[in-house]
Amino acid sequence: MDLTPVKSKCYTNSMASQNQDQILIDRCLAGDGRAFDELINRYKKQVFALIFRLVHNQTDAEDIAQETFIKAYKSFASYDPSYPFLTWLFKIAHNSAIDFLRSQKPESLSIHDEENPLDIEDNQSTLEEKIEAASQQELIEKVLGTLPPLYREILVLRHQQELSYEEIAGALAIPVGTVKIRLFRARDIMKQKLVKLGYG
Amino acid sequence: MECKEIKNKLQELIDNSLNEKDVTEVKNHLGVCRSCAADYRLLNLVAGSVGALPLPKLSRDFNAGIFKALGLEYKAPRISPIVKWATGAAVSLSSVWLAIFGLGVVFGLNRLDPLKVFTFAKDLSKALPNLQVILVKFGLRLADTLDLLGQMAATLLKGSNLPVQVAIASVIAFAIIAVTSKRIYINSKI
Repeated sequence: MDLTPVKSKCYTNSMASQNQDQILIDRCLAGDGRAFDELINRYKKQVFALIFRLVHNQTDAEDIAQETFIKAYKSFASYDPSYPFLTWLFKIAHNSAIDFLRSQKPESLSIHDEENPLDIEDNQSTLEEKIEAASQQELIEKVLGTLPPLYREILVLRHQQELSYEEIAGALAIPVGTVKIRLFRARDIMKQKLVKLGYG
Repeated sequence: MECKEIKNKLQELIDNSLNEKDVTEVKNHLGVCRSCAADYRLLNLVAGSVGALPLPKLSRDFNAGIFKALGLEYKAPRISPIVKWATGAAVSLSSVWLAIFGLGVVFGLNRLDPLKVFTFAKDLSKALPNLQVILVKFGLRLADTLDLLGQMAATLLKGSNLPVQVAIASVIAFAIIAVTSKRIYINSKI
């Protein structure tokens, strides 16, 4: 059995990357449009990925991602370079996405999983048939979609963006302890749902 | 450690946040306990799969939209002169090659009698097997070669822009056609 845990690279800690971000921000503040374009290109995929998993709609996610960069541009002067730029961007993205979800469907922000039952069609009789019917990735995507947005978000920050507990805490403005509790709970719910589907 | 305690530690193991002593203890337990091992496999599956989920592509005018909303002028990114020249050269070479190959085929076929045209068409369907014969002569298995070509193409394509990708793809395609046609020509002479 492979006992190797999923690796984490935590690229937001790279000092070189942080220095480059700071240079680009300084150039933005000096009115250099190309520097802003470069910053957007550097981080748009990560920002979009986080928002897309939160709001589950491409058009909305793209609008909110654009809004994130617009807000960032207007707030460059208040950015504290002692924190990674991406974490700061995620904070803006998180707040924008939460505002959007609140305006659309306030109850969707609940982290009580009971309100989000697993509604995957399950009319195949054996596990083999289930695997044939939908690839593992599709299944994970569907199960992830049934999680409350805040759980989806923390899973994405940890496993897609590969942020550390501390960086997640910084991005979401919550204590590290809460990050761990929320992350462990999110993975546990995913695990239980997969068990219900015949995995494990 | 009991199973209950181990199950609590599994999450930390996934995140690489366990101390060395606990890691050894948990791993030893996983080697003998099916239930905990199954739990660990599922948690690892969740962690690995969430990280690998595909995302839809962002629209091309994503950056332009931000600039527009901020009332800033958006200038499309400049392509470096080296890339421009390389793209131009690759596209030109590919076009010339295509023209020569196309004309060669048309004129070549016109001068052939119907039987030879039929033979040529038949040989064309043997293109891939013929390519394989040539590769085997060079000591390469087809699977290895395709793998090698794939890796080379992936390295070349990574980070380049669309025209460069098209040019590289054309050159590779033409190279394959050239090698194959040569073999067919040799076969038809025999």
